[in-house]
Parts: sequence; structure tokens; C-alpha cells
Amino acid sequence: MASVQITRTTALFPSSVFVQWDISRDEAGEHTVDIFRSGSPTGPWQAVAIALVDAYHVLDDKFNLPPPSGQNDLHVGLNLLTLSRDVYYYVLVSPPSGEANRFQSAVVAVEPGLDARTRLFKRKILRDEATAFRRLNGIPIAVLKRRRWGKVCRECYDEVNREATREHCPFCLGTAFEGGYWAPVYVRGRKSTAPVQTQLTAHGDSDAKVVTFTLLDYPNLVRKDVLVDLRRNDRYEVQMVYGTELKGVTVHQSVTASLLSRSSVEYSVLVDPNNIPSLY
Amino acid sequence: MSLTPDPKNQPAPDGNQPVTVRPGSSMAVIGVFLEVIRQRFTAESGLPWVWHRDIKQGRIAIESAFNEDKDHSNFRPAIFVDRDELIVGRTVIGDAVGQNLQTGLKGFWALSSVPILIECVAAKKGESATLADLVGIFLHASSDLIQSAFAFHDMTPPTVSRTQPYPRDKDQWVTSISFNVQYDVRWTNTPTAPLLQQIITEVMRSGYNSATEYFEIIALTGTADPVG
Repeated sequence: MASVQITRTTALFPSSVFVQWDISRDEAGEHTVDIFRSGSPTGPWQAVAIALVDAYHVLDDKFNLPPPSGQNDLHVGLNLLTLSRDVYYYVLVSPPSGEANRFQSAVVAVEPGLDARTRLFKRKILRDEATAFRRLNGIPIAVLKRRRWGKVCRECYDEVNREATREHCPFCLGTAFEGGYWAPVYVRGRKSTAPVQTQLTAHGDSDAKVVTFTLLDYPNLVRKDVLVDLRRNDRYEVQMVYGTELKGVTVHQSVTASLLSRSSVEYSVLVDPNNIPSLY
Repeated sequence: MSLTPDPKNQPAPDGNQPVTVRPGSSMAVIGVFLEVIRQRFTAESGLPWVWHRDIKQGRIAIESAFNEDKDHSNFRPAIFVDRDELIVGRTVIGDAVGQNLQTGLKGFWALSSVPILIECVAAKKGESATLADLVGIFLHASSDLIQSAFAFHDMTPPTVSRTQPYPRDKDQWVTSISFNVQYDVRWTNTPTAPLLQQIITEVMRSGYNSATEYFEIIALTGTADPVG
């Protein structure tokens, strides 16, 4: 049965929320996503984004907009990210078969599972870490999330085996879904050093370099997502993710990733090497 | 029955071979199948995997497993040709097939048997299996032609094995294809007795007092001119 799950609702400094979701699909094709926000778990709900097709996350940063001209609605300009206030989201997905088969996520609060005091700790830790990344030891990174729903590849998808049959497919880049990867998200993170380990195999030398990235807790990464070191254009495939947790809630992500060989198809995804990470 | 008018005597790829790679050696046999498989992946084949001698222009690497080129390291998809244990069988006693009574030259023959191992490596399991299927059926269908063109005595139908994980810098899969080829190995021996007799004659003609003196001069000067 198709379902959608909100995987991240991270409050970002000064006032925005990074909302990420993951769709478990029943059918192939474009899934249209609507995101709603409310100050209470039962509504009323306000649309944050409507009819998103090509996205797996949204940055909800419309909290502190000035009130419309001529109006004096005090609620518009409020900082909704105060610790005393909860903000809730849910995601509504329309599958290709139509709105009759829509399904929605559970209602999820920003930083769910944390009391106000712990939430403050988390935000403090995130902000300090982000400051350290920006001023001290961070590097710009583009996160390429692998597509896991959407239109299946017209070229190489095998209906019987349910997988892509070519790594270098120009349409899906071996992911089975057209486009291959979602649009890059630019963040900062810390990268450990590691040697290139050359192994002697039955087919000649094989190089492997496995490094550890430390990132903030968004976007939520899973195996086979790709991280791009923007300064060198080195591309790493995520192998393992484990988080630093605060009362069971992820604060940082420690990501073990393997440097991909230059012949890998992941190098064909375009990223902007001059992009300055805007988040945090 | 030969399918080509002038089959080679010993398996070897076309073109000039280095003197270190003897026709019929395991390296030559690997070279034969390497070239045969490469011909299946040319630009005219219509396949999405096109082999090019310059790896930077190709979409697939087809190499011998002895390849150490850095550009081929971790390249995917790739097909590697290797061999297993080479065995020279014995069909007749002493491998002897004939002798020239005048010169003493002896001819020998044996059937050499070598398992060929072809590994299809790709990042997608389906891609690895598809490549192996293409190569396997191509070799099987071309078996008679390959045997006749490259002087193989026999070539068994290929076995395409299960696709197995093969983790490297990213997840990879490998599907193996194996089969046996047999081919003739021929060689001759020149009898050593006439050579020894020739040396004795040289010593006697040289005029030295003893063979020891003759060999000492050769050892010291490199040559032994006849005395007087």
C-alpha cells in the first residue's frame, strides 16, 4: 500500500523549516505533493507548497513575511519557531491514478519528540556546528538525493526484474527513475581524511577511498545517495549513515561514503561548483 | 572439417605478436577471445555498450585480466578475460608423432586444454547478467567459426554462472562465463648426439693438445682459433 512519511522537520536559523518526505509507491509515474502547515495538530491547515512534482523536500521560510500592505494582521509576522510554539506539517500525495487514491502522511511537529528545553539544546548544537562548518572546518557539499519514486525509466527499466539494467543510462543514471537524482541541496559539512586504498584484484588494481562526513541532520541521507565535494568535484556514494542523537532525535549525521571512480555515471549530474550553501 | 580455407596451425590473435607470446600459449588464447568479444561490442552492433581502444571514448572496457592500466581501474561496465589451469594432455606415449631418420629430428604433439574464464562486471545486477548473456550466446553461436579460424580442437558450450555481488568503490556485480578449449601443441626436438659429435670434431681440428686447453682458451678469450 502506498504511503508517505515525513522524515525531517528541522528548524533552521533564523526562521525556516526544512521538511523532507519519502514516498513508498504502488504505481509508477509522477506523484504530486502538497504540503500543509498548522499551529495545531488538528488544523486549520495552510498550504506551504502545492502540486510539487520534482521535489523531495521543501524549505518553509514564509514565517516572517511582513503583513500585506494595508493590513495589520499580527499573526502574519510572528516568529513561529519560538520554543513555546509547535508547528505541524503533513504531506498529501496524489498518485498518477488520480486524486481518488490520494494518501497523506501523519501529522508531524517540528523536531518531534523533544521537549522545549531539549529542543533548545538541539538548535544550539546545530547552530554551533553550522557556525563551525562555516568559519572553521566545513566544506561546501552538494547533496544529490537518489530518486526513489516518480516516472520509471523509459529506456532501461525492466518491468519483470523491477530494476534499471544500465548504470550509464542517460535517462535514469542507473536509478530506475527518470532524472536519476533530485535537484542538489547545498550544505556544509566536515570531511575526514582517508587514504586511497589500492587493492590487488583478479582484474588488476582496484582503488577505494572511504571517508566520513559529518553533516547536520538534513537532508536525511540514506544509502546510495551521493555527496559532492564542491571544491574538488569528488563524488561519494553514501554507504552507511549513523546519527548523533539527543534523546533519540538525530542532531548530526555521520556518513560513511565511498569515493566513486571518475568513470561513474554520478559525475554526469550537474552541480554548481560556485554555489554558496544558503541553508543555515 | 575446417570452415576456413587456411586455418592457423596454432591459436593466436591476428596481427603481429610479441615474441614472448608464443602461439598456443595461454596468453595467446586469452588474446583470441579478447579480440572476438571486442568485435561483438563495436559501434555497428547497435548495443548501448560500445568498445573503443581508447577507454575514454568507450562505454565498456574489454580487457585481459592482466591489464594494469590506471584508466581501466574501477571502470564499469567491464569484461575481463582470464584463464584457469592449463593442462597439456597426453594422447600417445611420449607425445611422439614422427622422426626424420636422416636428421634425427623428432616431432611431438599433444592436446592442450585450458578453461577460459570471462567475468562481466557492472554496477547493476541486470547489466552484468545481460552482458554475460550476450557474450555467452555469442561465443556459443560462434563456436564453430572460432574453432576453425583459430585452430582450436574443441570448445565446450559456455556456462554462465550466477550473478554475484562484487563490492568495490560502489556496489558491483559480476557474472562469470566459463568454458574449455582444446588445441594442438606441436614441437620438435633436434637430437643432441649430432651436436656433440660436431663439438668433438671442432676440438680435434683445432690443434690444441687437449680438450681442456681448448675450452680454457674459449673461456678466457671467447673464441679458439685453430693452432698454426
